Amino acid sequence: MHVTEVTRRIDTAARLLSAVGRAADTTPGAGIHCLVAADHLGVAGADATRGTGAATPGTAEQTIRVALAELAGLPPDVFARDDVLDAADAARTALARAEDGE
Amino acid sequence: MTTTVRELLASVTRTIEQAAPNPMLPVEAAAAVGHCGRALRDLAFEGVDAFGTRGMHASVIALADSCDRVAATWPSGTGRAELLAGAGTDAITQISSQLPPSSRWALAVELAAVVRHCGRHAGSFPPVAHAPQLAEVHAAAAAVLQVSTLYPPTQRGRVALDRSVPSVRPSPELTGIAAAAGAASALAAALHAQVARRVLSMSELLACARTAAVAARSAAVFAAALAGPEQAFRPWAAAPKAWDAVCGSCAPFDDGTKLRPPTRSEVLAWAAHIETSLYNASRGTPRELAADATALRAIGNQLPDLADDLDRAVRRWSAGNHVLAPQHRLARYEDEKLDASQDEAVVFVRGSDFDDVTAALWDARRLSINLAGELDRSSATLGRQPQPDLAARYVAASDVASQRELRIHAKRAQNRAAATARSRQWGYAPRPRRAR
Repeated sequence: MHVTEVTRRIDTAARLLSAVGRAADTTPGAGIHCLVAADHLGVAGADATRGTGAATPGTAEQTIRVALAELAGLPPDVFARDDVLDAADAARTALARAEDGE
Repeated sequence: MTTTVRELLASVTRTIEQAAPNPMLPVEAAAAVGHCGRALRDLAFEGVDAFGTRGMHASVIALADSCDRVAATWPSGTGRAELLAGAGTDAITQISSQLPPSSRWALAVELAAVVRHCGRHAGSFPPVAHAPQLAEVHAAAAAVLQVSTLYPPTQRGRVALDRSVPSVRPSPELTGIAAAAGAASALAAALHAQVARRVLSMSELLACARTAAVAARSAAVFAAALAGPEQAFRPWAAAPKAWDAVCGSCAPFDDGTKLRPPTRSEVLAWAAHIETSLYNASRGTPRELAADATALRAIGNQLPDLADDLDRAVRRWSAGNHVLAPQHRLARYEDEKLDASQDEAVVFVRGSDFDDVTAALWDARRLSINLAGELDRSSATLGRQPQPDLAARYVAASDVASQRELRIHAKRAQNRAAATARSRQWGYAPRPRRAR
């Protein structure tokens, strides 16, 4: 996968997760984990301001799923980096909190 | 305090991450990873290919193979992390055959996260930092986690992580409500085992129902104290009465164990332990409210499953000749004119004779779900929710049920409890054999 494609994916994921974390209607539990995930992606080199596409595709759950799908498309060796794994873990937790309404 | 599978696996990760980088670290991590591999092999499933499960299955099997290679690389060792991982794996393998694919996947993802952390921190001991087995297991765990980002565990599947790991014996350190919470999961496990083996006795059913009534009463008092005055509609307040109604409905029935209860029954032992603990808690000095609230949530979360298992046992009894009752106490004989000699006649109970018990258990289950959901709503205020995904299901179930439906359950439970309050428990005593 081209480097720019990898960069695009983590940038988009970071932007989406950051947007969900800051949204007023996001539950606190989901919001904090979204922000943690975006922070981990920032350490991995993501820049949320570079991401493309709609700000938030839909509800918090839908947006987090889109972000997770972007991460799922990364090459295995990129996904296996600790920061990306930690970001995916936090995003999954955020999705669980959003589904539980916490 | 009761421990869930989720908490047990989190303890494994925490223990490894806090361990100092010394020669024992990779040994203990490898042992823990080996246990995880054993659980992963039990959890793998093929499923329907169209649902994308082949990728899940392949990644889980690959991770299990890597775990086995890591465990074989270092000499077998023991330590806190290994013991915790072993306990978690045993708890998972005990229930894995009953689990749907969504729960298996949720547990597999959680185990992959544990393996990832164990593999990473084992490498913090410099001599093994570049061990190929650790790199391989880390990559295999990352592969499972990558599949999970495309197919995240569902809410229903995550409930398996909230399964309580039952205690083997009462903890001497726990008292009061915390002791009752620890015993509640053990009672649920013992009851489930008895029902699955088809050997649950009437005395055990009554003990469970009485204990559930006591526990529901404690939980309802707590819920009422935390509920706002504007919350006028409180169907969960009838949950204790619903369990009282279960006891009352069983009054005419016996399988010979009411007067002669089994001498070695884990169900009876744990039920007695819970009742004693709750009684002592009500008499003792005031404790930490937050800890008590958390413990009561753990107890309340078990009540619906107790009702489910008891219902399964009753349905089995209704299909065969397992339980006796005096003929004159059965509804189907109400219209028959019985003479004096038939008053003492004892008959087998089956089919519609159990309708009252089944209805009482259904009310108890429904109202216990509502009670557990109510206790969960206050988890943001006081204490915490020890089983968040399980509680979320109960809250969702409570929200789906209409107020009218819950009102009917509550009213029926109260009426049945009042009607059966003075029912004398009948026990079957076989006539002594005459000496020849």
